[in-house]
Amino acid sequence: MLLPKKDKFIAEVLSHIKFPFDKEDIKTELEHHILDKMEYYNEQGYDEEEAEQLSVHDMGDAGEIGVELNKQHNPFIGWVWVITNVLVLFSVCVLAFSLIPFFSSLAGTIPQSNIIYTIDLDEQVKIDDRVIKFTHVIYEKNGSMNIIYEHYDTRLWASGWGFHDIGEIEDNLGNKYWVGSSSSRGGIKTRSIRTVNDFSAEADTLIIDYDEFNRRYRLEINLPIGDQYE
Amino acid sequence: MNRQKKILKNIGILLVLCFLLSRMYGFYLTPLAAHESSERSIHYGPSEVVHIEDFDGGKYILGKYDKWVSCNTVHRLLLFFWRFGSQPIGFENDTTKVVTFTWGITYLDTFRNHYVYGIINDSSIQKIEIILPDGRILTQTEFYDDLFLLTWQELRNGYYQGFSLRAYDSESNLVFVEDEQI
Amino acid sequence: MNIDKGLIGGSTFLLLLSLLEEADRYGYEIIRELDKRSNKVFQFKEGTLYPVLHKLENKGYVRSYVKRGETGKERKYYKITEKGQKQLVEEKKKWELFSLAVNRVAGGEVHAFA
Repeated sequence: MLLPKKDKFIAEVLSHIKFPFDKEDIKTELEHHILDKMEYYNEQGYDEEEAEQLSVHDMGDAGEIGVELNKQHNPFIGWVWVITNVLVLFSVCVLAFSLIPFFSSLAGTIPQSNIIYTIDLDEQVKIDDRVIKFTHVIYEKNGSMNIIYEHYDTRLWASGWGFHDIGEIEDNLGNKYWVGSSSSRGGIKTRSIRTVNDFSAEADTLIIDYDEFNRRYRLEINLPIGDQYE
Repeated sequence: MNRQKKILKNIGILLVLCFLLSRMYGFYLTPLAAHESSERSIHYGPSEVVHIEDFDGGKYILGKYDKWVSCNTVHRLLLFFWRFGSQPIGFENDTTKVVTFTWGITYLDTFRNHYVYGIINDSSIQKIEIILPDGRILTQTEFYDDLFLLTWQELRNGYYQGFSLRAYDSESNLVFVEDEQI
Repeated sequence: MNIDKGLIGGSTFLLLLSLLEEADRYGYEIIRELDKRSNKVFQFKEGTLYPVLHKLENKGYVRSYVKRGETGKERKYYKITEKGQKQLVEEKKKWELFSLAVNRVAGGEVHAFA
């Protein structure tokens, strides 16, 4: 159904609207009005062309309406609105993107077949704003001792330096363990694993001793010795 | 809701998001705020700030904490903000030496800033001097309490060279010499 | 009698807000209602309704939403807001003062208001 008079009327109105994002809405609204009015004339017995002619005529002067409508669709406010919308969307995306690491899983999981024993822990320490929660100790057949812990910052959404050094790893026999590795994954709550090599099978206590720049904690974890797990 | 209100709502949301993002990415409004947060999050300090000095793109913050001496850096960001630089953690003062010092480098687009800082354990020392292999000599006679800080710039891709640090007493007698390789 | 002055006169807000207070309506519906109730006294160019509706929306007196009406067609409806309700009370007061004054000047039935 071609309605050239209606289209011309709407095009004329829209030519006065300076804010582009509102044109579609205005077009739809006016179009619906004209179509409704045409339906009314059709019911009165007018044919399509007459109905269109009359309906468009009833609308009034397209130029005048366009000018008045443009006053209500301030392009400056319109653009500020569009720009702030884009900025909000952008910031939300950046925020969402920043949160992705939060959902990743623990690094360095240990194959079940390598494990001699696992101890579940519930030891929590705090230094400055950081809470460190020791969750597991896993001893492997190759002598590796793994300390698994989580840490997070108690300040809301804070950024800062990473936390890599949980302290010196010792045992009750006086051995100190330096060689090993550590890895971390995560965003707001980081899950980490610290591994030391060649941990003594004779030792019955694992000691984690942190003493740096006047911050201290010391954990002593009882270990099952040889005959208890073999 | 009319458009002005929507704009106000957007601005409100943006402020909250900006706050969250600035926290997450470590933007601070003042250099000292960045410095303090840097120390606390690395579990050092709070140090007593003895001297603050500008360099292109940031500030050196010279401070003491217990037996340690530090020169943290903070960087300017987007005109209004500050964020962590490097080296928040100090070195331990060795009181058996007349001068204990260390050095650091911060990098800019085309330059790198070298800085040497330390503590003087002998009150007879009146002058600290750094001699660079190319002949440049930097001196400091006004100390910050018993701390000193000397800085210079090199081209970013320039040759790395060591330096010689010397300390003199009031009669210009050489009291201390140490050569550093970089 | 036709009053063909466009929909710009002082009582426009009063008329539109009154109609929207009864129900949410879209533009064509408002025109039809005005025709019907005023016995076609208020005849004006229908397109001039929209700048006024959009002005009411900008002022926060109404808000709009798109809904499928009884006919199954999507239409942009206008709904009066709380602020609009308050404005309507104001407009009614203004109108009463105005008609009272007109009546007094015209020497009409002053006693009716006394």
